[in-house]
Amino acid sequence: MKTARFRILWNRFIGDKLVVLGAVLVFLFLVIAVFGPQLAPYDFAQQFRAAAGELLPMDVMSTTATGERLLLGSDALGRDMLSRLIYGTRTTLVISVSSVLTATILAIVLGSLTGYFQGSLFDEIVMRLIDALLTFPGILLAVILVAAWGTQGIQIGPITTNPEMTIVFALVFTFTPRLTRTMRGSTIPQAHRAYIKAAQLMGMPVWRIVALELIPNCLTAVIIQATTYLGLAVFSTAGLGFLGLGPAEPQPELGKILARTQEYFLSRQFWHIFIPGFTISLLVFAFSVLGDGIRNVLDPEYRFEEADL
Amino acid sequence: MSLFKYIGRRFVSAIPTLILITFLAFGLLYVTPGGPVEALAGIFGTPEQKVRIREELGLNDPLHVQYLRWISGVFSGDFGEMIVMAPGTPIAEMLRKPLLVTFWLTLGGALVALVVGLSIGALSAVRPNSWLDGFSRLSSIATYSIPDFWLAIILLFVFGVIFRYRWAISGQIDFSRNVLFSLQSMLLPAIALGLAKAGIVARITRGELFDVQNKPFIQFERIMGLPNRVVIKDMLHNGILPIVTVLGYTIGLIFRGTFLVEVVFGAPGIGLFLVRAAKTQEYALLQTLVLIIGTVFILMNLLTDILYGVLDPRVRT
Amino acid sequence: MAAINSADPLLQVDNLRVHYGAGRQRLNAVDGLSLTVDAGQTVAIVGESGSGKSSVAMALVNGLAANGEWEADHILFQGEEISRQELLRLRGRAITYMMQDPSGALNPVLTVGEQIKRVLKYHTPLSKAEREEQAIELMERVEIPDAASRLDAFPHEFSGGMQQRIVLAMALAPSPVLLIADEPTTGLDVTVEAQIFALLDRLKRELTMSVVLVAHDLGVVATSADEAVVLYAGKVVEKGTVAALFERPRHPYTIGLLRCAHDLHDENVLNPIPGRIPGLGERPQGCVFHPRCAWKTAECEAAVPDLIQLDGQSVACIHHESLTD
Repeated sequence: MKTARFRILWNRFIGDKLVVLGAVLVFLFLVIAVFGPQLAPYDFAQQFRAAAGELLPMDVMSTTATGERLLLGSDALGRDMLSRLIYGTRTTLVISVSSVLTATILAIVLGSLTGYFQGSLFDEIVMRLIDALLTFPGILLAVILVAAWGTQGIQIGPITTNPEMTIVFALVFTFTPRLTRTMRGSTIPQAHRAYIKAAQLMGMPVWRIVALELIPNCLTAVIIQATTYLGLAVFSTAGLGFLGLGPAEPQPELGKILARTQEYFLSRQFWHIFIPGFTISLLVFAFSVLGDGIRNVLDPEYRFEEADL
Repeated sequence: MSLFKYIGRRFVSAIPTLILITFLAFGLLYVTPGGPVEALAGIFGTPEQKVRIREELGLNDPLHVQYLRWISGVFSGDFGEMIVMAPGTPIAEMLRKPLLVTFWLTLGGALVALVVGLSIGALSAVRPNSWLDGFSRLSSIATYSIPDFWLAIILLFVFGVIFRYRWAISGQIDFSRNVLFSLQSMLLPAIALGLAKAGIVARITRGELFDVQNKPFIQFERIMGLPNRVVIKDMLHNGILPIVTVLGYTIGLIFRGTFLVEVVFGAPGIGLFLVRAAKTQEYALLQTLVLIIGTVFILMNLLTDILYGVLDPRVRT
Repeated sequence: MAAINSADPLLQVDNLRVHYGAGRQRLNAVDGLSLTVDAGQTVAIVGESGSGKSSVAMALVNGLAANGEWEADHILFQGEEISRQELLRLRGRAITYMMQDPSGALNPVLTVGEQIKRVLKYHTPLSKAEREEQAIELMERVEIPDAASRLDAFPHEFSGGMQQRIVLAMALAPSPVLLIADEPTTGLDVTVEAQIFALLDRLKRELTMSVVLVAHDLGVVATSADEAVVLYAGKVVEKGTVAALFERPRHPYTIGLLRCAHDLHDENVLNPIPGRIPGLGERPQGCVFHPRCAWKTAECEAAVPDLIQLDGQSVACIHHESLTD
């Protein structure tokens, strides 16, 4: 039975060309992220000099003074663009995926607890706080938080986190509220079902009821939403990097690379302006389409029913 | 009567959120590493200096005293002073111009998004599966993938670098000085902001207007032989409802985008200001921004809700 | 309204066909249905979902989906042959319609009073003040308590049963001679359902109106219809007076339906017809019912059976004589 259901879902998924394209793209980006160090031709911080012997932004297919071919040219500091894009993709992806993952786990815990204790003081306080956080659209909250924390890393007691963690924290703050609301929404109807009542009557401790009985039955909606958030996370990470609130130099990040493209305005190197932005767009597109596809597979809405004729 | 009650209730329910926003803004002071003390004393400040600064700023008082002092200042228009970037300048004065620039840009972007989005959406709803419909579907996928700041860079490159229009790269938006030039300077940022979101508006408009054609009550009105213009009026009334909710959301997205696009065009709005402030951790500035942005969006959500309540009796209950 | 010659049926439709899509994708939903509605009579169209019964109702008021199309050999209204356009002009005036789902049939953003008054505005010569009065009277007629004060209420402030009464009030507003009711109690409680049908029955008699009732429930048909047409996969399998059909069903499908209905009261026996109704694109050769029929023979697969005229009913089954319940 289980395999038959799986096959139906699989067919639905594979049936949509756009979704398959999204999946393939996401897979390719993941390969680039994982095998980045093996794939990148040079180190991302290594500076090359143009034939003239100076540090210049080199155009695509340039050869350096020392004879290296730079497929996509270099940035204004003479660093190989292709290598920086590969490492940049890696950074952007690690930040995006880990922030969505953390936010989802937090949301599952918070959402199931507020849903289970619906109407309690705890629920009331958490939901109010979420309302307040939700008034800040998109990454605005993240921008303010990163600005407040600074880009040097956060000091928690004796430990100072690395700068990337600041961005992850800020993004977790922006994603958790809505995900929590979704989780709470799917928990509430389940919390009144007979199997939960039965568990309560059997004297099961609350944490076991929530963790073992409730959460596994309420995950679909939050997982769907988390998938669609991956595209948004890439967008936000790149946005922060673009604003200069990304990881510190020389660490490459897609938004940061794009921000530097204005340095190529004078030399009118179109490809340099095009490629980083296109990479971000492709990444966001891949995640959005895949997210939509997964939603359609798990929660299809039939628009037309033949039986109604 | 019930409409007024609904509006009143919505207003009251916004108050706790507003209070929470003030807590959040106030709390920012305590998450800022080092905070004002480090900023004022500098890296080389002696521990004695730091103790003195803490005393002067009243940071040793109990939390609620500090909060009350701060919030009463806010109500009298005193948001604190800059510490690093322009020491001693009141925040309120520093923020006035950037807020205006951001406001105009957001408005311009929203206008572009609405005009382009609504018209493409409405046209493709009327003629489903036409080339326009296909184009709108494709462009909506494209526009929500393309970052507005990239679009801004491309526009800037094309008009500023290749065609060399002076207004394209000026970023000067000051309606008190030169209205025409300000409008010209706003054009590219507004297009970058609006076009990137027009796709979303178009997609939702198309979906809603398309769906409403097949709603049973529209069918019933037709079957009951009501004149076409009456049926179309009802379709628009019901189709516009979900679009209203999207409106607030879209403006939020555009506001967010404004921060990034300002950086591209060098327009002196909140975004550019914030980026500069981020490196110096002007805590009072950040507090004020959280407060202002939070309040503006609470009011905007309120307005959307009220508009929705006026249009749809169902939400009033 | 012209004087009705009682000898002529109110509405007669010959060989009605409904299809969806065009060209290769063309699918026949209803294939050759003939219908006669006498003045003051209720004719039921009965079938499972997917039988095409709603398509018939929708065709008569020209409310088919955008890809739906219909035609008929003859349409006679009060004894006169009329075109489809002329039939279309009658809708909303002489012929009105009651929607399937009351919660969706009313415009959510207008008060019920406005919605009833609008129908009056476009289909009666009444003045504004008279319309107001008439709207209250209509709401009282469909037994909405406290009608005058409920005029300014919105649809969502009513229960499902009350919403359907308002739909009925709108349908009655132009004083129609024929009301087409498409499963008017879908989604309502059994008790509310009974109230709605009782109301419909009473109003039909009071207003000397005919009703075409689309239903899937034989119990409803037995109590409120005079004649019934049994539809299966777009084909009429049997039709006749309700008395005759219930006394001696001749078609295997009708027999099956009646068995299901009877067995509902006997908890030990559940006797549904095996199999399911074929979809639009998968109608079988020969008799449409043969894949599910216990009496099928090779001849059933070969040719489409004709509708055979019998006493008080007609049946489309070549084995109808040998069938015993």
